[in-house]
Amino acid sequence: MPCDRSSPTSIIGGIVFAILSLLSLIFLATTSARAQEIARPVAQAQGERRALDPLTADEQAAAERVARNDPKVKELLGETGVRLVSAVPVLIKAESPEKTNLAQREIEVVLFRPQGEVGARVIVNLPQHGVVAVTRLASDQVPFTNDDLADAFQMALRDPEVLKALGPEAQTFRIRTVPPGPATPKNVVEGLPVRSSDPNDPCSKHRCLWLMFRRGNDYLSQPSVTVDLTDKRVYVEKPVTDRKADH
Amino acid sequence: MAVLLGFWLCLFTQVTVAQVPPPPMPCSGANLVDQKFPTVGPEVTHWRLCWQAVNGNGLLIHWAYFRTSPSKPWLFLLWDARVSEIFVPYHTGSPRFYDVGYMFPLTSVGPADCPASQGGTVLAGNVCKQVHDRGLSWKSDSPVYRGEEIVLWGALAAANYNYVIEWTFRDDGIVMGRVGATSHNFPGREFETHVHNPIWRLDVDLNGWPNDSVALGTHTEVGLTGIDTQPPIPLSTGLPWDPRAFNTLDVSDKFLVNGKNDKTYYQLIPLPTQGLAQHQEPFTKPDFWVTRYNPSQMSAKDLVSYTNPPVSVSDTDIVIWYRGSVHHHPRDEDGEKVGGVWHGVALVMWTGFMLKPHDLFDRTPFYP
Repeated sequence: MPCDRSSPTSIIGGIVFAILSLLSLIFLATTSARAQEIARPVAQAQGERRALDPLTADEQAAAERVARNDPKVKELLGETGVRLVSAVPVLIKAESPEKTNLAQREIEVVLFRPQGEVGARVIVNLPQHGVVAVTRLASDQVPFTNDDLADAFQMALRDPEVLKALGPEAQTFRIRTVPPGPATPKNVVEGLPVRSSDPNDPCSKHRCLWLMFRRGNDYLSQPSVTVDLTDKRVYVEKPVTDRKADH
Repeated sequence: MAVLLGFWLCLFTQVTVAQVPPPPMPCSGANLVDQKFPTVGPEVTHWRLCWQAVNGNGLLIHWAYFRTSPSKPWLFLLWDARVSEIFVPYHTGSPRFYDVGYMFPLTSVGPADCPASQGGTVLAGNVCKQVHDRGLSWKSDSPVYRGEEIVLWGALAAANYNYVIEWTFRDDGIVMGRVGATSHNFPGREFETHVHNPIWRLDVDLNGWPNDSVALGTHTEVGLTGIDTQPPIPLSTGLPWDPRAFNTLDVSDKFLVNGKNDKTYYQLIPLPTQGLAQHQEPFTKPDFWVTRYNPSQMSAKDLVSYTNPPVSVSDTDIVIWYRGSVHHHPRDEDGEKVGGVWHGVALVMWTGFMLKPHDLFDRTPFYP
């Protein structure tokens, strides 16, 4: 009989084999179940928008709409002539990293009304289509946009000195867009925010943009134009002597 | 039988080096960066962080975690790191530009900027991620170790200038921030010297928040004796950086110590290329600032008002700020005037800082 041929060693070996087999089965069954449990939220998380993921066009439109329709925002800015400055996903700090809602879709929308130069920072809770907070912004707290540049450029184009400096190409300049597309014109205008430290200079308090004119890859040395958007005035700087500065 | 024994041996090995699971993150896809070091072989250290491209500020870092070994907990380090402003005054006194005050976007980035052969991967069309060798980490006669790092950069298209905003996360836990100024000299004033002053806002939340404090790392010498002290900074304020005092801003957490029970801190170390400017504007007088976290306080040009009246910054949620400077004295290498237009570009000029861990590891990282 087979049993008769078994030595004590082989019997112990058989018992160990059986125990290991049983443990392996139990381990594999439990880990498989755990893996399924873990996989489910991971799979959900993969499809879920996270708090700081870039805005889709639809999300941006929705956030802007919610912000503009908020009664406090309407009271602050009115309803006409209000421009969108930015819409950026933000994360609000909770008590600790563990308690922070990492899937919250809260958007910081900045709006600006050029007339009266008043702005608002609006925190929008996107899933709830509600406004969490509204803060008034002074004009120097609102960044410039291409809308401001377009205004400044239109004012500059009414200045005879600017027209003379740009010559017959003056009307061909367009606002620069980034990234440049195939339809990007050769002649573009760009702007940089400028603020004076001289209290007698209007640009120490006003919203002022310095305009730069670009032809292809190169910049025109003239004209040097500053536009005071607050006072709606254009200043053209006399050409600076072409020399190297002293060290 | 042998197979079963092998299975259990393998299981035992896995349990003994069980990794702490990665923390959940507020970003996904290309915006989530997860990088272990060394890049080849078993993991020693690990970074996990989010980046965000935002018009105006450019490339932001959020929610950065670091782990000193697979069995150690993830350490929260940064809630938010960004360039808050780039202030550019010209030597004649005018103009004085605020280059982050316009919603400038990042330029596009492609394979020419970010070649795969240099460890580069283009993210979302405007950010470059590079994972590569960073040179010697340590050397002791023959034994040597070359370190690695992950670098994220994007370039702000600020009219005539491009500002390369770069964040580096090294295998040894160091974080570096740099800004590089390049592209065209100021049209009409191509030869006028000026200074580019990037001001970083670093919301360092060591071991989470609050419970953080800041001290001013200071070296002094009396006769032949050198003394290093860390006087705490009790109230929000601005401070000058003294290179002879090796000043650092040392951020610590009330409860964070390493395995040797030594208090862990991260040091903000300026890395100026040539020097640091001071201008007439009050916010440029100090080089360092320490403020208490306030989500509405994001603008460097308003720092004076953020610290007046001063508030306690001990054992709380703190933000540190640092201003670097690029003194740009134009040279023929920047370009030339040809037929009324400026032809050529200024080569990249850098300034930056380092966030360096002190007593975070229990021993030399990557040492056998």
